[in-house]
Amino acid sequence: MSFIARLCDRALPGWPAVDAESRACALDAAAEFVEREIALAPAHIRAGIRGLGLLFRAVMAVSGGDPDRVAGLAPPLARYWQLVRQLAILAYLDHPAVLDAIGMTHGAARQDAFRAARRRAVEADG
Amino acid sequence: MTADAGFRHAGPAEIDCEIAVIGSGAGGAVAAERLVRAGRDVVLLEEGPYVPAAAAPASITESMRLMWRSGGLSAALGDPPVAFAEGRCVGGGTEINSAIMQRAPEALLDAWRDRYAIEGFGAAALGPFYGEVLGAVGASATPGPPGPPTDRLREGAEALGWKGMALERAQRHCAGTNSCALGCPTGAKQSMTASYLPRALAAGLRLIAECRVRRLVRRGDTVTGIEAVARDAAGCEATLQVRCKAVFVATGAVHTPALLRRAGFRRNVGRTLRLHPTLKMVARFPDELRAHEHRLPLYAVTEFMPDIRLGGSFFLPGLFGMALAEDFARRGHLLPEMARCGMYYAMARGRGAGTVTPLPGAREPLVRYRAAREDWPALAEGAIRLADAMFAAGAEEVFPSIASHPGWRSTAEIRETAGKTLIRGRASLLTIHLAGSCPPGGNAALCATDSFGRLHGARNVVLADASQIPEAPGVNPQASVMAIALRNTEAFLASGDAA
Ligand SMILES: Cc1cc2nc3c(=O)[nH]c(=O)nc-3n(C[C@H](O)[C@H](O)[C@H](O)COP(=O)(O)OP(=O)(O)OC[C@H]3O[C@@H](n4cnc5c(N)ncnc54)[C@H](O)[C@@H]3O)c2cc1C
Ligand code: SF4
Repeated sequence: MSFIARLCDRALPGWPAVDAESRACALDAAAEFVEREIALAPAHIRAGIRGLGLLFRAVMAVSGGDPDRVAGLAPPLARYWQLVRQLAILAYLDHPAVLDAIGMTHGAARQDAFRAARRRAVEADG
Repeated sequence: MTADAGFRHAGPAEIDCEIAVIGSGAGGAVAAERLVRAGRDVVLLEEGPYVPAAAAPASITESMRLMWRSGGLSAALGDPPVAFAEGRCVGGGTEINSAIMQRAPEALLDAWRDRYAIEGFGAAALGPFYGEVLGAVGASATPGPPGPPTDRLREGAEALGWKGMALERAQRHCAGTNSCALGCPTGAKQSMTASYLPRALAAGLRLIAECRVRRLVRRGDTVTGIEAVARDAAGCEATLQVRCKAVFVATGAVHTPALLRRAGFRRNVGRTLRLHPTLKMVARFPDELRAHEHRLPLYAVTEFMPDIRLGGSFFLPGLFGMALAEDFARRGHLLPEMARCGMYYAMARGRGAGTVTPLPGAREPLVRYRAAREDWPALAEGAIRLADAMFAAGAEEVFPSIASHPGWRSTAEIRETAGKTLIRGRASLLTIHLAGSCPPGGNAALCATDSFGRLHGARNVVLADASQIPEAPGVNPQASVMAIALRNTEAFLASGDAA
């Protein structure tokens, strides 16, 4: 597991509960999303995030592996953990299996239903 | 020149046109449409992809990749930093925004006219331009009941006797998918790809998407062409040279000054970036709002305007989770309570100013924002007022977006702890409204262009985007961007020496 994936694993919330397979799949998606978002950030911001990531990783390695504890050591470390956690949770709560667990219609099915509803509204209006 | 269905370039490495417009957002699309309608030969260059309604992303994470600049992860550095978002697709910010349409307050328009010595500006002069653009995008009340997230904010404001207003949007038969930030899947949102651009294409506009302008080619005070990198349908990138007689720069309040400064145009360019620093708030109510199934709140509290506006935020499970993750230890308990929560905001009309500095070899410039002394007190007051409104509407608990804030559970608690808990250095500020980086007018000390967007030091460059709104308007800016772009374009066409 990559370092980002390990952090994402710690970041993912317990709600909504999903089966182990879906959680693993959502974790992969979250880690990929976090990596991708960092890669898309402007170069100077990306460099800062990656630098903090290296520091976070080093401190985590010597301090027992608890990201919450590492984040408590200095504000920049707290900001790094906050960013990773925010992105990971965003991706988790955007994952189809998790949205299913919430009971939210999503994806193409949702879009198609609304497209049909709009078509009806336009037709009704002449 | 040829193009595929995604408007990607598939022709020669050099093309000619009379006028090149750079950037296809709220400003560039309006300018391009007006120019082609006047019979001009126009090429519109856009860095981002074309994403029609039929191909709108079905998830926010996919939309951030495809349609948001830098995946949505940009920030103006400062104390505290201000995260900001912009669109990067054909249609620019209008494709991912909520399409709320508002005129800037009349008193501000008149004050800017006087301070910046802008000819033909002010509320009366801009009125017809606002009228035209608002009509063209069908600015109107969204059909159907607004839903509980709107109702809560309105009820809170009414209980306190505050003024507020329903917000009109650029939409026709909006189906209420609550997906405006993803790209509208139904075509209801009258973003630029659903309004101005189809008309411009029908009138002969040549649009090139996935084409990033790297630099303006300059000979003395004349821009003779543009050097860009265009991607074809196979994903291959190649340099594209565009020769033109005049250029409209409409790449938004951040990229317009970056492009101009790279070309050596520096006079009052990129030194006064304005924005609306915004503090979000999560509120938990006793009953269900199901905000994720409803439209974003279409109501704003105007009682404290123009300096502070209170409103409601777009709500998706992921965005809600993100807000909680700012301080998960204190707010994580709200996640299972999602159905009873809403997200709202206090937005200040920032008095500070930012700078835009291109970085060698980097696509994105360095953006800094220096808050003014008034900015944080305005935001703190906004947070207190917003919390008051939430409690007046029945909220049980509220959390402003300040890490380590313990949350408030009553109005009495607000008054007791505000001084200790509203800590500027821990605030997560954001903005989706950027403006003012190249102000227009006759005031030589302040302005980057003449009163009608003609760049100082250049014979044939016109600006037509948010960089031309002189200062933060205190309201949603898109209508002002469009009105000013239209006005600058009309002035260019009327000037005779057009190209
Ligand atoms: C999430 C979000 C919600 C918003 N909600 C609202 C709202 O409800 N109401 C409202 O009034 N305003 C809203 N706004 C703000 C509004 O969208 C902007 O004010 C408006 O789009 C600015 O118009 P513009 O023409 O200046 O820039 P943009 O619309 O940003 O367009 C600039 C275009 O130029 C392109 N570009 C940049 N650099 C280059 C280059 N080098 N080469 C080629 N192309 C380039 C960009 O990709 C972009 O498409 C919102 C913004 C966001 C991000
Ligand atoms: S709510 Fe949905 S249908 Fe309406 S404009 Fe937004 S995305 Fe389009």
